[in-house]
Amino acid sequence: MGTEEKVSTEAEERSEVRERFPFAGELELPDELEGWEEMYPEYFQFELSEDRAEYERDRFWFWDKKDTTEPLMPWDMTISAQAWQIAMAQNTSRVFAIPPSMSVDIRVVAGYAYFSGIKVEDEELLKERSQIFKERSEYYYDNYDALYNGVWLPAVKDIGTEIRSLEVPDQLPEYVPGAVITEGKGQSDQTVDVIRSYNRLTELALEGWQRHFEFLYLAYLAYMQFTETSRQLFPDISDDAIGKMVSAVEADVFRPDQELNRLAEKALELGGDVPEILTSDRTPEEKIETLRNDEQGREFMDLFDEVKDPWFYMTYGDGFHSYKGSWIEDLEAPFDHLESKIDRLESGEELGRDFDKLQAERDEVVDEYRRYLGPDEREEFDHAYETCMTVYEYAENHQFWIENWLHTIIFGKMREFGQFLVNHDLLDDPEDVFLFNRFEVAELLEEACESWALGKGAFVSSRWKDRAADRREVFEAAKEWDPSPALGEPPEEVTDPLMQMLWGITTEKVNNWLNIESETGDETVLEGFGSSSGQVEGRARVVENSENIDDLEEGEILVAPLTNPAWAPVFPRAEGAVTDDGGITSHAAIVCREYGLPAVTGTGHATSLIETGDKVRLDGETGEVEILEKAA
Amino acid sequence: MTEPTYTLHFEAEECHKDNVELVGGKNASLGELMDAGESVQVPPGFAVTTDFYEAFLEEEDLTDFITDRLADVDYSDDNAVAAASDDIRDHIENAQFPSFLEAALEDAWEQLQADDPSDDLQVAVRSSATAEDLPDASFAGQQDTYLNVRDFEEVKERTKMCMASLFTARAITYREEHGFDHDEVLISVGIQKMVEARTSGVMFTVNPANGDRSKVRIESNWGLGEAVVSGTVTPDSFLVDKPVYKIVDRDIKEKNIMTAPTDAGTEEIPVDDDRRDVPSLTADEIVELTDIAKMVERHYSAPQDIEWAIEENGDDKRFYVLQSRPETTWNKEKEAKSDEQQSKPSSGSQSTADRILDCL
Repeated sequence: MGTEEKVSTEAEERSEVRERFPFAGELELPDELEGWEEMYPEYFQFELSEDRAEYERDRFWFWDKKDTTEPLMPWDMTISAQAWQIAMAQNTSRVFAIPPSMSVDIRVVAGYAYFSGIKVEDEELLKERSQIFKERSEYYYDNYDALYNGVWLPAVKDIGTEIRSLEVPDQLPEYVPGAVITEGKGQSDQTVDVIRSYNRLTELALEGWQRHFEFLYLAYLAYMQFTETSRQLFPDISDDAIGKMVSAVEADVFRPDQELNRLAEKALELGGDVPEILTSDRTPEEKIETLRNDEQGREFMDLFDEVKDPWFYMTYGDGFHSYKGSWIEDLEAPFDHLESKIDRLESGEELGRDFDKLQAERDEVVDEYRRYLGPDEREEFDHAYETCMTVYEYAENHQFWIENWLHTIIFGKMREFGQFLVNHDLLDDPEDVFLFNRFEVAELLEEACESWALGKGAFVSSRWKDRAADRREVFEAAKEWDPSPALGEPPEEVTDPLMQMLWGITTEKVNNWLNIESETGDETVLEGFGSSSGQVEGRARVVENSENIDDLEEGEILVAPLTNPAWAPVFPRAEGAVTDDGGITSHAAIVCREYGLPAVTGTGHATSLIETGDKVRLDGETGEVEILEKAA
Repeated sequence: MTEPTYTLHFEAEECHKDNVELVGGKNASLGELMDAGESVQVPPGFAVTTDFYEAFLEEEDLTDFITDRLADVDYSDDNAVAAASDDIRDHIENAQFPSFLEAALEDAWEQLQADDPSDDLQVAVRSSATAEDLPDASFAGQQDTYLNVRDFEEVKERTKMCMASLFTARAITYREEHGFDHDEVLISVGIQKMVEARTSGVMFTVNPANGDRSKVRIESNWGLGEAVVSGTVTPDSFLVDKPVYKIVDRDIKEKNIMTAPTDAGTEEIPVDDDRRDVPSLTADEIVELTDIAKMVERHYSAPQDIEWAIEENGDDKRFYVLQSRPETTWNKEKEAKSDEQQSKPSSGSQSTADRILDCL
């Protein structure tokens, strides 16, 4: 092949890339990823059959970077994608019948999720769904408080409590207890209990995820109608202004940070050795032990024990990744936060948000907008605003209660099963249990019971251990892999408001991805959503994942793929935030507005263009991020 | 009868919108703006009142002279009107202010000088008409502006010229045609510190494009505001959300021409090459102007059309409001719209679900 010919082929390939993304079947996965398919349920796989491939190639799929920035382990897929898909889809399609949407279809590639929205276009069906939506959503809006505080929250807490109470033995006993005989039980409870507990756990996980979506769309739709009403009344209103009007919401997601503030204040109030112990070089476990042996320390620990459940049930990461762990299991983060909070208090700083002030500022802005309206318009505005404010807290609260609190409990219980399997010599490491999907774990447990039943010296297969080792390698390779931001042909226009608000997917952004796919990336200016106003210049700190969040130093600009609730305590250190993904209701946007920091979200690829130490300028008004100077 | 007031500083309580017959419309509005809020600064100055004008004419026997001179004119003869105008204006301009009026004027002038930190006070002298129902363009004299005036002799001369401008040929004809009595029409003069504007322009406290009242549209150019006001240049333009100060739209133009002051008035000069493409306002200045717009609008309880200027000397930066009038287009539109809406059922009765369905 002549050079010339080769060049033209490359150019053609490039120009093709500009028009569309690869189809799933065209993806070239690294060799190390071979075998990933067997880890995930079949129905999540692309191009299973010819008719399915045809259907999938007709659609546009975007990588759900919000929830699978990193691949999901097979078991984690159980409570996220699996439980999630059913709950999300049926909420839009069969519970609330949101007229134009039948939710999103999900596929998985090497642990990364891809979504594709399904629109309803049949006029008759739209009409039918409008009627149902109207009746049902209206009921929820009118009774939100009673339904949320009276039913939802207790129900979610009950699910967590029941999961905790599920019995998982360390190991099955040598011989079953005599009561099997004396009480005429006729069965070995132990094996039945293990299987029952596991089945119940997966049921409860599914149930929790049903709850997850109960108010979620209602919250976003209320936000959307407020946005639309505001746009009608004030044609040029900015997203940022709308964001400001819905800020200062007293959501549970801010509680962990508030509780840490309370603990830091308590430490100083108690005095004695307490602040010193907390700011020492000791490990969290050593600190706790020392504190429990100290008079004031014990008082501190009383408060600590009181608040740790639920408020330290914060997962490292976004809540979907078991391997990231949580505060309560690894106290490194809360103790690091405590240390820096005590330092700040000692140097005379105030902690936390001045909530009253934030609310006063917000109310002032709302009042000012209202002042520009006539009486009818004002009534319309007030109605939309009140609805939004009634349910909006849910947009953040569900993240705390489901993704953090409940998931931590679920993952914790799964580790008990993992230990059980290690003790029965089927696995080497309790964490390996997450390398198997929901159905496989049921098999594993049955096999454990089966070989136990056969008695001492029975054959125990090593194939699960071997498979775990193989999968571990595949999974590590999946983490290194960089998936395509989307698959298939992009729509001319991305119109789905939820896609824009939640995932930050816009027509512009999709086109931007196409260009990045085809260009070298020498650009110095990135465009995203101006999600929290203000301009700032400073050194960047790129934080790819939660383990490194504590590297963020005072005065730096946080650059991250996305942020999540566990990061909230470090935000006060930052001067501003830039994210790859997420729209104006993403976590980073909401938290930055609460802390009064400028933010640009959904830039697409800030973390790949910006390096730690680069000098950047971000403009929360225009949504522009500029790299002023590369790090030496 | 109350004591006559010959001069009145803008910040004086009496210099406000209900006292137009004493200080004229322009001076009254400047006085009014002084009360609009802390950050609304008006260039300092004072009004030479209609009491002053009347006393001047009376003491110098000009009242009778004017009445007599105009009584003989054949208004159908343009030359005759012009001759009468020249005659009257010469008389006014050549007369001397009686000593008590000159003393009052000098007092006011010295006070203005004393309050000026620069030691080189330069003022604009302009007439401030009292008859508001006279259309701007036809009421000659109202636009008379003398810039860069720096000594008392010149202040006196220019003040007299403003007063004389009440008797231009066009003004005389206009009054004749509309049945105004010449001796009942009065004039006030404003003596105001010159603003050496680095940047100036106008702002509307409503988006003129769509009537969105939560916005302010700021238009700006280098130098004095006349090029912007008259529309001879396309200025930089910024649309700002008033409650949150967010700039939702900005349009930076190539600015080739700006207005600069001369002794006789103003002239248009080319903008230096290196400033043509540069925004004529910084983000902070836009925020400050938005604040000013809000205060003025709130003071008048109606959308306003505001002229402003920024003066910058080293670190000293001052924002001045030069004028404000009601923004009429959208006020009328809004009234029309609300009439229309009254015949329709109120949208306020729509349910949340209905609203959501509307936007899905």
